[in-house]
Amino acid sequence: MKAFRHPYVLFGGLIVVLLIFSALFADWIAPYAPDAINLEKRYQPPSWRHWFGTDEMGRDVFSRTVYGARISLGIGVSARTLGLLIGLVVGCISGYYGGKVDLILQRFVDMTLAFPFLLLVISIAVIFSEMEQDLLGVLIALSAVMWASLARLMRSQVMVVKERDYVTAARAFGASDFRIILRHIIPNSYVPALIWWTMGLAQAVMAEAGLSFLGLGAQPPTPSWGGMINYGSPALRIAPWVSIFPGAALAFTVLGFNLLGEGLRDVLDVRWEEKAPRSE
Amino acid sequence: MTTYLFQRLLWMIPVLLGVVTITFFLSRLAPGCPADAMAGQRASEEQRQLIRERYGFDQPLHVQYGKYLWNLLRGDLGISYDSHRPVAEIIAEKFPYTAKLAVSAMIVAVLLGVSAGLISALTPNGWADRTAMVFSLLGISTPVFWLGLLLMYFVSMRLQWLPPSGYGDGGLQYLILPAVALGTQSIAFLARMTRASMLEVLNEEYLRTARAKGAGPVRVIVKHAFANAVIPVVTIIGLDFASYLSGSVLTEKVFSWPGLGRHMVIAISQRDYPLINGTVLFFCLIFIGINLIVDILYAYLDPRIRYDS
Repeated sequence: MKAFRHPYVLFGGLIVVLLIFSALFADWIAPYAPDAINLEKRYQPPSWRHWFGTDEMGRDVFSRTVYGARISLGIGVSARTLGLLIGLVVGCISGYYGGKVDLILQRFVDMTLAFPFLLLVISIAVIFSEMEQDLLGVLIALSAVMWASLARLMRSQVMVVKERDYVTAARAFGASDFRIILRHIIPNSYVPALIWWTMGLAQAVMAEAGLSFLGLGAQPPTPSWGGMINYGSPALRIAPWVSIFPGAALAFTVLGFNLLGEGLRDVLDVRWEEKAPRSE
Repeated sequence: MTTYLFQRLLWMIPVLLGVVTITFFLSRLAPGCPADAMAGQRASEEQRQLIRERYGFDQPLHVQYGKYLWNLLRGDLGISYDSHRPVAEIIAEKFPYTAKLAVSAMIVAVLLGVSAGLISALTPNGWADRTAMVFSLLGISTPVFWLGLLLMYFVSMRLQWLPPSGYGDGGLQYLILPAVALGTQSIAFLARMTRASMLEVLNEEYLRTARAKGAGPVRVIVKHAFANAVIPVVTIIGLDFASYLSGSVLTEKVFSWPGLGRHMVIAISQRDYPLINGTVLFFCLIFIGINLIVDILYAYLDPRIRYDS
């Protein structure tokens, strides 16, 4: 509860809860179906009937923005969680066993981190896009790139924790490596992983939108914020609302995750910053 | 230092080999034969077969991989499926535009970000500090492609102060908006990092000593405080500059900037794998190279850092 007294956690948390609520109850919140076309109402400016106006097909931008939260949050959270699982497993094995296993695994980490973030994500996503598995591609691409920084972080954590007396005691009692990692190491080194997960959600959501903006994420008519910004951009002069509102929703989401992540980092007093470069 | 540099350069070989391997196999994972993409939809089966034989697509994968490595060693990145021009030639033609944008964005970011951070640190919790930190949080949270569109709409279309997109005659007026859009996140990060680093050093004993010895406030701040707070700032500058040079894909797309990033977007839409792979490889090389330069810079900025030990 102490965490919620921190203004960043409070405001960030409120934004995130609001977004999750919108994504879950989009069917009730959105006044129109996201793919309901009405060609007579193309490019209508914001009004009481259409709060965020309409797009090139006469679809309600507000409804599409609300439904778009499902894709952005869904892909962002899933990719980060998958990256967390991969990073956790690789980091724990690498740090716990050391030696050649560590050497080989860390070279994979080096290679992954040697790629500029967005470029590697694009390189993987484009293959899946070719197979017409765009959303799966974005999910796999993001998690395949994000795990590396956590693997490195967890490795250093595990290397410290595995030398503690309670781990030695567990080993002396005959506990298996799997049990030691699961019951003793992870519970004593999960805090940085939790902060990593939270702080990177903003990056994951932004990267998903970036891919959709490049035409590699959710394909029309599925509403995704990056895709909506992309398809609205040619009409920016006559109908700026088509791109501006989904972009504002995206920025609001990223702000929420950033606030929450930074607040949690302050509250849990973890002096750590992900050194992953920002590719735009 | 020389040993460290040699080790780092040596270490780049397996990392680059890994990067090359990943990009090669990723492109081969794509459905369909590259020869089909190269020949185009209207080509006959004979033409496709001719391309397969000519470029070795009919050979086993490991042979193709070996040939790919051998060609890379000779600086041959392959032939673009779309334009049928050497990829290396396209990169050499387009990269200067990307470099120009990256350098401009970094100049904007360093000037504004470091200044904002210094002002914040010198007036902690004052209105200037709070304003700078609120803007920095907003800057970090704003996606570059959306900010680009906002700038384009308000500054170019509504106010008509600057051209909305393109390269035009290469004048400054075409550069300002993309550079500001690309540099905004760095401005925000640099402001925060400069503030945090400066606050850490501002209470150090050596600053009091410098003041006691009669050093003026500007000298104390610039020569004694900032010089000691600069390392984390240089890290951010280095990482961001490497990211910018290694493809400002989204910004270049928004502003129709004729750089390598935008060309890569076009290559993606046409599934031009040699161009995608060649560009990714080139960007990785730059990325790794700049990270190495930043590491070396540390030793010059902080003489306490000695890599040989």
